[in-house]
Amino acid sequence: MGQNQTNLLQGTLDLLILKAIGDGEFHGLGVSRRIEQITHGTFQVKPGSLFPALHRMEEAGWLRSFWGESENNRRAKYYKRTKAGERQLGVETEQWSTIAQAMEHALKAT
Amino acid sequence: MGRISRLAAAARNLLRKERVEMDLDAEVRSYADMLADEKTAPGVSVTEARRSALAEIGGIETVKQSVREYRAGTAIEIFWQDVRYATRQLLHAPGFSFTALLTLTLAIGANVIVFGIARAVLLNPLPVPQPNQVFSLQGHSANSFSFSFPDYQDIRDDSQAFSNIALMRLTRVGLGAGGTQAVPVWGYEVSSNYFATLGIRPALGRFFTPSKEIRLNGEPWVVLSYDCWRTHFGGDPDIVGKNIRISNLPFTVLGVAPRGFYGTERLIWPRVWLPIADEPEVEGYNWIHHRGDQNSWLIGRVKPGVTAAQANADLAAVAGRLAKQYPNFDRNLEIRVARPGLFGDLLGRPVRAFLTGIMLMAFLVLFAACANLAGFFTARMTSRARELGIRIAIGASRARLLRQLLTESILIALLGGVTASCLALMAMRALSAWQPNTDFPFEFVIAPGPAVYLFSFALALVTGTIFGLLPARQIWRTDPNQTLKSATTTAAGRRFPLRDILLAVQIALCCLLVTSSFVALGGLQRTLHIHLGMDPQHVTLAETDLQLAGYTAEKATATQQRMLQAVRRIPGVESASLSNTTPLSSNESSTGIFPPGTTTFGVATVRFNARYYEVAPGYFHTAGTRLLAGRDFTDADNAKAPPVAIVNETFAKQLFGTADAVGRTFPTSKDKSIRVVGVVENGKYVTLTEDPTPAIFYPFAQDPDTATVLLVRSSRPYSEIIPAVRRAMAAVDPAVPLLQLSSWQDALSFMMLPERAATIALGILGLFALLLAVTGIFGLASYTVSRRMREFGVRVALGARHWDVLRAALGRVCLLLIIGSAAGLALGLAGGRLIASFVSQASAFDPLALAGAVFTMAAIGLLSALLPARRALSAQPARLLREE
Repeated sequence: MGQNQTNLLQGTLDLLILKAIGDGEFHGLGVSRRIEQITHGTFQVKPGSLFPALHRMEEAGWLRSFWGESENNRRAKYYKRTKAGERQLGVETEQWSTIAQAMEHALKAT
Repeated sequence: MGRISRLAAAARNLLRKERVEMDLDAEVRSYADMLADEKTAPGVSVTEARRSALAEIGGIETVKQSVREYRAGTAIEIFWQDVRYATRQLLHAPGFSFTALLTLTLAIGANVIVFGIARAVLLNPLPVPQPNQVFSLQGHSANSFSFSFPDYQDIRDDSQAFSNIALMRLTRVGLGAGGTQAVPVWGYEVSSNYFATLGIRPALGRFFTPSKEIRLNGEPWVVLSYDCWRTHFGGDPDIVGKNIRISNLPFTVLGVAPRGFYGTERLIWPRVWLPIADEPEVEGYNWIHHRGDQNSWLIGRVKPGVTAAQANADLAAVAGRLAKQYPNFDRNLEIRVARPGLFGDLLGRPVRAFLTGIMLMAFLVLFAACANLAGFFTARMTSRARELGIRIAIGASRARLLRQLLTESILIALLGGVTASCLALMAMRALSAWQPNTDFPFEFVIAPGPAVYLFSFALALVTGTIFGLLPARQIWRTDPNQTLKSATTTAAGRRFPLRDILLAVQIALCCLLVTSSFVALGGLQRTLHIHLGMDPQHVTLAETDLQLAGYTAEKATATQQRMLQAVRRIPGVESASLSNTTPLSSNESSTGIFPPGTTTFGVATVRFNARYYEVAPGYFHTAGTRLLAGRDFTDADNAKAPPVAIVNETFAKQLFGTADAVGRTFPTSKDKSIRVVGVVENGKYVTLTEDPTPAIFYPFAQDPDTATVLLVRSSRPYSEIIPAVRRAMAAVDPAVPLLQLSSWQDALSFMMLPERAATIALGILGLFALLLAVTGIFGLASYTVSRRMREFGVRVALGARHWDVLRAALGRVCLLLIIGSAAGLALGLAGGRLIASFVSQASAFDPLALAGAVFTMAAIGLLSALLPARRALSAQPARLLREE
């Protein structure tokens, strides 16, 4: 995996995770499936990227985790967005739209 | 952005590591389980689902590791892990670790010691405010940095670039601090603006106040150095205003200099400062108004913002004006600024060249050590290739491995830095305590400060990084599949792997240092056997100055005669004589010589300057100087007899054009001329390297002096003669202090200080380099042999003879030795020139030195390849093949 791709992904990944979790509670696989769903299958997040991101975001105070039971009665670690996470979602969304608009303009320019 | 939150997380991760790890493990496993649940569908077995889930995840450990790497506080944890791992690795191979540590200690230690010396002698600023404004004034050549007092006054008043210029003259005085004997101490006679120019404030009392005019006999005041005040006056807080005796003259203490102020010469620490105005009384000879008597040093402070070039231009203008105004004296006057601290350029230049050279050599040794250790680490890495392969295979990133290996190399380098600092500390203590055998107030203090430790630390860090990184390429080349498949790694088929190049470089450096050491040693040897024009063996010198006990030159004569009689009565003394000073004693004076027929006597009509000595009858016999023609002085050559002199061969040839000068006369003033009664062989008078210099000897009785050197020739051991001389002189007048009492050879040893220092320094560095080369060659040879033992076994089995095996085992090492030595010799020839510039008599093209170097390299090659060769020859095919 090239360096550039990783960087792009990292910035996007935080936003995607925050958005995917929303106000709900998800375990790792749940987050992964939810992202797949909301991006219409474009992004399939592998655990090698997902877990570092989840842990990093929890350490940053954007997510909170707790142990719970899964649908299949398996013990799983669930993640929930915090107040700080909500703010962060706002910040990142704004950044992303700026970039997206800028890119759109740039690509349309002749 | 959640900094506190991250900090808390870091603390939790580090403190509750087990809990965090268990959580992580459970989380990833539960993910895997759930993924497997998803995949479990009709027709798919549970094991099959689980296998495909794990494949999709890419390994539970790998995921956990990637989380760990992002985790807060991971860096610290990994660092500790690496340190622990590195420590284990180093302890695991004690032989390797010890060799590496020793290598590092020697190499870093050598650098730290040289740096410490350079710092003390060159780099530390002088103990004055704004030291970069302070310059020594220097004459046209490196040797001339003395000026006359009248010239000083003109330079001081004329120059525009300087805010002030001060004058100082080193002189020896007898310090009367109670007790019968005056203590001989060295001090400066200084101009009244001396302390003001340097910007020094007194610790007690006050300093001389600047005044333009000279008031002779006006200010019998003395300033004591801090050390002098503490040692000789017990730190008396009421010392200011008290009367003390200087050379038996009454002086009033004006003040005490601050602690740590030792004037502007680094190697000379004066004990007292006296006004130059009192010079006639203190020295017993009034030269202060003679423009021709150039015997004082000048130190100036340039105005803020003035550069050295501007100061030089200003001084050149001043010198031009003086030359016009006083053509008789200042016709050739040149003045420029020089860096202060080491007698202008006299010592400054050679010392700077020498230290630069040595620093370069020390760096080379360090570089060789780096090459050596890099070789070791590369070899070790190759044998650890399997371990590395496995670790990469189970998910360690290459960067992580690199960090780990670097931790290992830096850890041992830092350890080496610590031991090197200890070594340097001891060496510096020893050097500071060392006193050369001279009565000069020679001080050589190397205080290892934070800068030295910092230097040591930085060197260790850089060294560790270099020899850690060089073998690291191996990590990138490691292909886990390959390493796991075959037990013995097959090295890439490059003709010259890095390891070999490193060894060749190292051998070259070693050879360079060995050659340099031999060149310096050859120089020292020749210097020791140089023809001095005297025979110092079996001669004891006793030096004093009766002035220190309050004698005048006229009164001194009788006491000097009684001293001479007293030492002649010592049993076993073959001959004894007297002079005011001896050649090569650092107390040399010269006088202008006028050719026969001179009518006006001034600097312009001087034919040449000759070294002059005042000697008693029997001096040449005692000193071992051969009389070529004429006669020695006798007791009849006294003050009432016509003036006579004995000259050396060069003098005779330069003045009369022939060595046959006995009976000829030459004038010294309008109404005095001197007849030559004898001619003696040439000698060395100031330096060992000087060209033949004219010298003249006057009869002591015709030119009395309070300066006294008794020369005593005896074949009894010095340990018996020296105390006997001391007793004999004390019996004549106990108040006379002995300035120096030692064998003449010991007294001369100071003259050879540069040669000795260079030879010792180069010798030690050469030895280090030698050790490094031996370990390097030994390391490579035994490594090659151990890796190819199996091949040798096969060869022996196929009928190879000893010679074939040896060639296979050591051919490469021999080739490297030859290439490296050849390069080193070539470099040595170039470097020898540098050495010849500070070691007299050293020659880069010294065949003995070159032969010595070649021989040494061959010997170390043989020595270090001996054991591996024996091992290669012991290859037993049956056993080796069984082992595989």
